[in-house]
Amino acid sequence: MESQPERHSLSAHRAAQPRRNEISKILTFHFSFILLSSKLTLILPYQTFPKNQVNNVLTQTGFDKLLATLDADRELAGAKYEALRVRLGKFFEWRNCESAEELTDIVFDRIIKKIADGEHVLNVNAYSATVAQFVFKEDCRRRERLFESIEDTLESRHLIKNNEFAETETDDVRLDCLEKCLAEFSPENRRLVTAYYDTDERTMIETRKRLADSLEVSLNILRIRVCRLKAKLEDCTKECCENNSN
Amino acid sequence: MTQEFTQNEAEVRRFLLGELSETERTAFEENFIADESFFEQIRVVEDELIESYTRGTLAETDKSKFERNFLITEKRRQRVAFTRSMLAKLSENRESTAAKKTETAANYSVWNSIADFFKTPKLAFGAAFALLLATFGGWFLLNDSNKQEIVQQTTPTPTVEIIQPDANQTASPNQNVAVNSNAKTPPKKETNANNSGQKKETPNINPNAQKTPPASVSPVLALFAGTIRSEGKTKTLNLPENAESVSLQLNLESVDYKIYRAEIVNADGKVVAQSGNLRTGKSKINFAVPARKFLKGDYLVKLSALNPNNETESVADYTFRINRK
Repeated sequence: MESQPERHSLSAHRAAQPRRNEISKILTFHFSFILLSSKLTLILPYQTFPKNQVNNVLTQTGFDKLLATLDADRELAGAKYEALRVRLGKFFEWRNCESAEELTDIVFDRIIKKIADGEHVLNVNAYSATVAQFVFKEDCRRRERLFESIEDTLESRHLIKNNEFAETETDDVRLDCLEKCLAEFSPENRRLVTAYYDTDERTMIETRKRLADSLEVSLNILRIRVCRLKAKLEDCTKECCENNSN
Repeated sequence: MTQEFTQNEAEVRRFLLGELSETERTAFEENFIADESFFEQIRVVEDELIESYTRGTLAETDKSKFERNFLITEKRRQRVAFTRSMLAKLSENRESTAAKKTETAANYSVWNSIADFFKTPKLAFGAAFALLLATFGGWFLLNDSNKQEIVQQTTPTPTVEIIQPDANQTASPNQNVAVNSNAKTPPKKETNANNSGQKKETPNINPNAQKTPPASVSPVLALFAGTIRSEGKTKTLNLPENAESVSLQLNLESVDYKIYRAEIVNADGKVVAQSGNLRTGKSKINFAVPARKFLKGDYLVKLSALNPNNETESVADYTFRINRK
């Protein structure tokens, strides 16, 4: 789906550094994704939002205004946008929403609309938290309506059970993928993950403290570093498993 | 786990386990959406909570809360499954390294240790010196006894003390080092008037020779569930002092699960050791427990596994007894 905003976004950063290009691509992708998901809401039977909302909201200008509100530096704004997106995604995930990505897009749609309408949003983070609460409540109501229409038949229960057993069969694939993804890590990061997790319950705390000492960082920093690496490893493994199943 | 996070950590755990009230939760959510560093803390605690659940170290109440409130989306179940696979993969590497070490220790015979003794340059030099000393000493004694024989032909026969070994000192080849330490018992002294007069010295076991620290060992104890294959007897392991660890081999009737968890409980019902992420190899589960965990007494190994619904199921119980030397 080639669009005017997409070309604009790419051309604006064509001559920039690789890192800047990368962020531009991410932003372009997300903008396209928001556009696509918003269009999808038009055809979904249980959509919550007014049909005419999308056309008013999703303009490149609105998106640029959002970035400008986040930070004057476009690169930093892009990074802040990405980080906020992750946090909102997790907000919905921790609220047990299966479609966290889509709900995050809806939050951004609304913020962009607000900014495009000329509203001055001082703190995008705080504002997005409030919007996210509203979106979540709306989604709850939608889910309630949806679940009422689904009969808990024996057949559907059987289907769930089969899926769960199919999931256990992917364990071997997951292990293979995990090994591959771990091999893609730099030797330093690979050693770090291995040293951090290669411990038993009894010696875990001491081992990690020693590891932090040997790296001359606080245990807190080590935990965050490993948490990020684990997230990368998890994403890579998931992608690999999906590719294998296809 | 650390002092640094503790201020928020308890609240984060309450959030993840669904213990916060709706008002508290809303405020908490607004905080982490606005604050990147607070959000990272939550992710760390979430990861550690998943890890604790996977390793089986969560307290029973937290475990049920985790299952009831956290483990309810497919995405999170997949995260737990991933963590389990990751820990299994990493512990697999560790166990294979440990198994190699155990194998090496088991193949380490007396002859190997003697050979190794002479491989060390300083000790080899010492041994050569001792051999030289023994040769000269022997030559000197031989000369001396020849002189005595000459004297005996002219002087009356004196009464001579005969030193006999203690019954315990005649150690059978099967006895181990710990038994041989009884040689420290003072030897019995007897006077034999009928003796021809020659001083007979039976081979004396030098206690100093046993002061050399013995190589650490890792005895293996194979266990069978129930009383049919175990023949109704409680398996007993005589744990030597120099044992570093005990390798337990749990034999399974059938392999119904991929990952198992074992808990070793003493006679008072106290858990002395536990291990998660155990994998089977040909209907057997092998794992090592540090020997210091065991005192003299009876123990029970509770083997459990996670079923496809992520629920813990009891698989088998194994009993054994430890005798400390």
